[in-house]
Amino acid sequence: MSFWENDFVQMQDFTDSLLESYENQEFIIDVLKEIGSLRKRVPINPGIVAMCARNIIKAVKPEEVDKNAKHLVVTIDGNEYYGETHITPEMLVVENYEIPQKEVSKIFVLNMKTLEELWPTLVFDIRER
Amino acid sequence: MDIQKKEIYLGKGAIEIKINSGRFEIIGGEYTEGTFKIPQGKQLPFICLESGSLDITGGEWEKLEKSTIPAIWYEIPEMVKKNNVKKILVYGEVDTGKSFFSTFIANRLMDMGLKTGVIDTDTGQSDIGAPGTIGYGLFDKKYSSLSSVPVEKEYFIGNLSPGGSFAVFLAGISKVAQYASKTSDVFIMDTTGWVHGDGGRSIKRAKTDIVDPDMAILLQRGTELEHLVQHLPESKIVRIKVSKSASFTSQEVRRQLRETISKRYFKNAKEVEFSLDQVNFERTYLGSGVIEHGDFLDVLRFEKLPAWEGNLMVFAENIEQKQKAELLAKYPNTRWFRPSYLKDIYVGIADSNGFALSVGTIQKVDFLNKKITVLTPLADSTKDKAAFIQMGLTRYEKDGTEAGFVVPGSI
Repeated sequence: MSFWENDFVQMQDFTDSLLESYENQEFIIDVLKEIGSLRKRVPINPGIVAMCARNIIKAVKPEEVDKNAKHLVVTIDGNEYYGETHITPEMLVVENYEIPQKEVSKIFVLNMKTLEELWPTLVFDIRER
Repeated sequence: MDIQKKEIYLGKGAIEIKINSGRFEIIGGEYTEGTFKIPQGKQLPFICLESGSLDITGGEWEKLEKSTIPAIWYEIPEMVKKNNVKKILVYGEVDTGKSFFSTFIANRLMDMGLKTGVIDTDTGQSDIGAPGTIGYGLFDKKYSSLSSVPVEKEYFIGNLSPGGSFAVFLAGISKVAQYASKTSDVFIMDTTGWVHGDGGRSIKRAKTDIVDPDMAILLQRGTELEHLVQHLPESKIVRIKVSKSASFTSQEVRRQLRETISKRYFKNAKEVEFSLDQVNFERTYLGSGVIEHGDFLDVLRFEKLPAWEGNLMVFAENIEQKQKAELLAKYPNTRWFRPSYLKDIYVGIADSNGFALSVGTIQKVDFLNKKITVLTPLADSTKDKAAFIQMGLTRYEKDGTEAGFVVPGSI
């Protein structure tokens, strides 16, 4: 049979696409940490972890920026800025960088509640070894 | 409530229906008395054959214009008998009524004098047997649901989904199907709704090859199951259309249905202690190595595992971080845990043939005195037959509430 018998490959596919789609290392590490956290929470269902992983990175509009959360701001010319972000009438301020709103292409935030949203029946306390 | 002959009603759970008088066809069987409890998320049609009256409590009770049971359902048992069919495999996506169909056919076959068995392979929504098991039951009489059928044999999987437990799941299919072949005239295997994607395709194909069915029944909305039976001769395939708008069962209702079963199982459970000289651990590294008897501080058990597998250590509950770090630095290839990690793990208590006598959850393992305490409904009379504690991948609280997972390979 030419089928995968394990859903781990879906997680690997996601991490491959993550590395291809983004350059900011801190952002990538935070996504990978969240995948690690999901794996700890649902260790026997890599397919569900992969499904959640695909929903970790959430696109938001400028008016949805939450000043308490880290955002990845991608400019029209492809530069990526990652960190706590707030918005002013003219600018998006990511940590110490001021980016004119007209130069912003995309804004992403990490959703750490994917399991609660997609599979609430699999939310349990983690047992320590 | 008075019901007239030929009237058809659909009871939607949670509902209780008591027959006071009259004659009714319910899921392929005829009844003149009895009380039928339909759980939340399930439904059951009542066809009135002779006018009578019913007491109805709770749920919804809907009058139907015509029967929801297709004519072919009545023809299949005749085909089974005529063609001397021994093994029936029922395929269908989730929420296509596979269990209902299997019950209907089993009731009809039983009425025709055939010793009829049903194998329930839906480990996540077990009707026959405990959650996370492959259960086999014989229709010694008519049943209105598979969950009422007494368990004849049970094979413990320990996972609510076959995904991640392919090997043990297929081993169980093989073992239970062989047993069913020997003990029934005909058996129906009710399968999971996992039919698509790599996992669904490979496990269904393997299951089909293992069972080698005489009749493959597809409960399908369109042609979504055809890929599963491409290799079978056309003469073995029966196609049944199901409603495109078949009822959808939400995650939460599914969990409630699962927990209804697990809570029922654990309701009569009690703590049973086994000597680790009587029972061996199975499906785990624990107990599979050579025990090292050195003087290892804060180590309750130290096993050398075979070949490249390294070591297994059970640390004392209160081991200090420094001591643990030193041991793991000295023995780097080591699986380790503390006894409390084993608490609430769902286990099968199996006989020497590998069939489950019962299920339970680990409450305590006393490594020093070589004893394990399991919360289980196991009958006292069968305790002596216990040979193995088969480790599962899920956990339950004492009342049967789902309580998380075990990391595969960690113990």
